Amino acid sequence: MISKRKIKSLLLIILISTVVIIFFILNLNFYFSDFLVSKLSYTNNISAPNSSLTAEIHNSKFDSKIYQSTLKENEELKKILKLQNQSRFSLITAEMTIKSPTIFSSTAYANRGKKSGVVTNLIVINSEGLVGKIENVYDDYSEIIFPYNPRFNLLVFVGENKVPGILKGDGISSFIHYIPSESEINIGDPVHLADNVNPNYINFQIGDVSEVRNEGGFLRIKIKSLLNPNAIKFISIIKNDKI
Amino acid sequence: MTKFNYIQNLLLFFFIFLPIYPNNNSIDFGGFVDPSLVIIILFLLMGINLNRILALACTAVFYLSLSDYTNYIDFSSKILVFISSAYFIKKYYWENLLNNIILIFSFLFIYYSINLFAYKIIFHVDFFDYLAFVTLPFVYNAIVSIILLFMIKYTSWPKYPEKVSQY
Repeated sequence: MISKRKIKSLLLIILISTVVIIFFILNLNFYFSDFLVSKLSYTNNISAPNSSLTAEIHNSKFDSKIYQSTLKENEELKKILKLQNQSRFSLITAEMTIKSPTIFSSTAYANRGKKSGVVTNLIVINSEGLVGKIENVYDDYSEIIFPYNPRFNLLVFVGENKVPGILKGDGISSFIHYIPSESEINIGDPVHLADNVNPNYINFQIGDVSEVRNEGGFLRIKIKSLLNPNAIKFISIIKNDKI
Repeated sequence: MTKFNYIQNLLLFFFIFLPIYPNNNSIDFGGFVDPSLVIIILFLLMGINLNRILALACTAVFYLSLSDYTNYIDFSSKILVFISSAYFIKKYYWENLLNNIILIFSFLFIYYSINLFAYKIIFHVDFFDYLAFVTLPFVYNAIVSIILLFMIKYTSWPKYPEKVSQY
């Protein structure tokens, strides 16, 4: 005859073993994981990762990343080529080689200078928008200022009526100034580059109007979708002597 | 004072020089991290000596040489932050992890406040434009500074010599 105490302990053992079995079943994936298979199974050599293949995969991934960046660069160059063929102005294609890494800085250097025909105040664009303006030119390189530089100012045309205004920088952003407050400017109107000789000389859109404010008889216009010039590699400098 | 090992010195060199090249987004997070500011913060928190002050000065002057005159504001505010923070740390600072993190945010806040003050007076910038411009750099600079501080100061092997005990 089994005593009550023994029955109790037996039940307790059964209960604990059930819990342990359930725990193991639930975690079966772990115990049959690659680690145990590789350590205990006789198929160790077959399923073990081949070191040379692993290295090859790593190399392929690395190569693929290089190809992707080359592809991106190629696409950027194609866009510049397209811009050069379609536009009505001649371009000097250059590479932005150095930029100042401080946050408030708004200058960069391009690898084309006086020898390539670059002069001061030429406009610098990219296939996606306005990059800046040439500020100083040296023999083999030139300094570019971005549109948010306080020294930056450029004539632009705003809206369908091509109202002229000055695009200026204030150190952290750029805005259009010196447009009389009577002018009809609406949010979403396109902003184009301009030249003071002929309004249709350069028809290159640099952004859209995002905010219009009246300040002392003039409108202060903010532009959206302006290009972030910090991450650009290839640029085109507009030479004004094609037409 | 926490010392840098050779690898950390080499990485510091790359951290200073690589961001001058465009398209190096992995190092300066697309132009949002200012390496000179991060290094000022790190050096202040890890202790300053003459060599470090010289390295900071060279970095700041090198970056200034790549910019135009508008960068003098940035340069001056960095000097101001450095001097005031060095004085504060020497006189009143009690060093621990939480204080270090609070101090990083304080440095950045002071730096951007000085710049706001200067830009407001000189270029009449709009406050909300400024806020929009500095929000991401503030966050990125803080995160990078905290991560580097952890890597250099708090995850190194203890340098204390082993004590020999006799039983």
